[in-house]
Amino acid sequence: MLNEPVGVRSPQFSNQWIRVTPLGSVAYWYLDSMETVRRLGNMGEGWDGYGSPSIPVRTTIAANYILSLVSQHQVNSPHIAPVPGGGIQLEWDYDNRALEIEIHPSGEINFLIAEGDEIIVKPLHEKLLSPLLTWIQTGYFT
Amino acid sequence: MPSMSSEHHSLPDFAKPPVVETVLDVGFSPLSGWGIPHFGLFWQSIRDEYPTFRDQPPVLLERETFGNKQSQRLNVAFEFLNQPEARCWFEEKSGSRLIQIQQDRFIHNWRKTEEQQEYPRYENVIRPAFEREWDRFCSFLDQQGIGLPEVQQCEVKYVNHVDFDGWESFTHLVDALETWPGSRGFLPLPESASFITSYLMPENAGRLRIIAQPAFRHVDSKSVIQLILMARGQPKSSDRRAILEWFDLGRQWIVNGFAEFTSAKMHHIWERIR
Repeated sequence: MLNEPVGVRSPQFSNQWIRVTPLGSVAYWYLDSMETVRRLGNMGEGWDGYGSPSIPVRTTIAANYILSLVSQHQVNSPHIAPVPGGGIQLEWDYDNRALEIEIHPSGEINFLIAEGDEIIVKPLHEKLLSPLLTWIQTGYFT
Repeated sequence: MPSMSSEHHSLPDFAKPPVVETVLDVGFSPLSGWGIPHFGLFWQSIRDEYPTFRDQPPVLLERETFGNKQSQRLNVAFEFLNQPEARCWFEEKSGSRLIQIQQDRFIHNWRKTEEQQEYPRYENVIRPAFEREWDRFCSFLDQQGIGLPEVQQCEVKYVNHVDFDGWESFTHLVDALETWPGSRGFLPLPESASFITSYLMPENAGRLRIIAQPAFRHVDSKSVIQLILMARGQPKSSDRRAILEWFDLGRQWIVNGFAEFTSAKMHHIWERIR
């Protein structure tokens, strides 16, 4: 599970603990997405008009982590939105396919894939991220 | 030979250094008796202090080579393929210290945390903590009949995060950048830059690398300049004293290198003491 993200691993797998994303090789949309997450993290309680709690730091860190992984792939920028209850959702739509990654305030991370009427919701494991991104772009998991 | 204490007092010092993490890394020949169960057995022996573990992919031992010895790199890569594909992180309760273990590595990290903002100093905390944990690891190997590590390489790394506070341009970070294109001619000041420089230590004792790159820090969603100083080399032997001597040398190069590489303007911000 991606409950406790530890950062992006560089290709040689680093011995560092504090992880960052070097900005030399990331997608064009990466910094804008980070700014969006930062703004979401700064929203106060009741941001949705229905008393929703603010988004906890661990959720924004997890979102940053996932976006850092995603930014290494050739994929379009996600739509990033807050979720009532204090979560963050990343979403991509291609043709009749949709991929959503929801980061819950508890630290739990799920993904949803939908194609036509078929919908699957599962916990997200880091190893699944690459196949899911391939699928949303091509319709195939390989 | 000067003692560590006298060397320490001659090194540059800063009241507010930008260091956020230190790494003391010992690479050794793969332990032939080491297997997956040993991660758990070792964890049991340190669990009271290091209650959290995480799985990680192994780190490749990138051996420094000097002259035309590139073939060694291939040998090491081959050894790497035969290892259990595992590295374990054991995190200390306070969140400021980490032990990383894999079949051919022992790594001890310190990092800055919310609670521990001040760098605790190499000679007071970082070095003694490594010494204690290395001894404990070697005792464990001995108890398990695995044998002591045959050390191939040591690495000291200081990771500095330079926030965009109190300085206006990337060129202010490093004196040498003042004369880069963009400082005095048609081009405007560079908004960003990345570079890697390496320096050979005398008598092939090792190599110092300085790496600067703009980066995004996840924990607080901030853009920073990550300035890494990393010294690698082979200690004279595998015993603890030789390892610590090499770490002292590597750290000496890092501290002197940092002071020489960065600008007086930044030293003022970091409150240089000597």
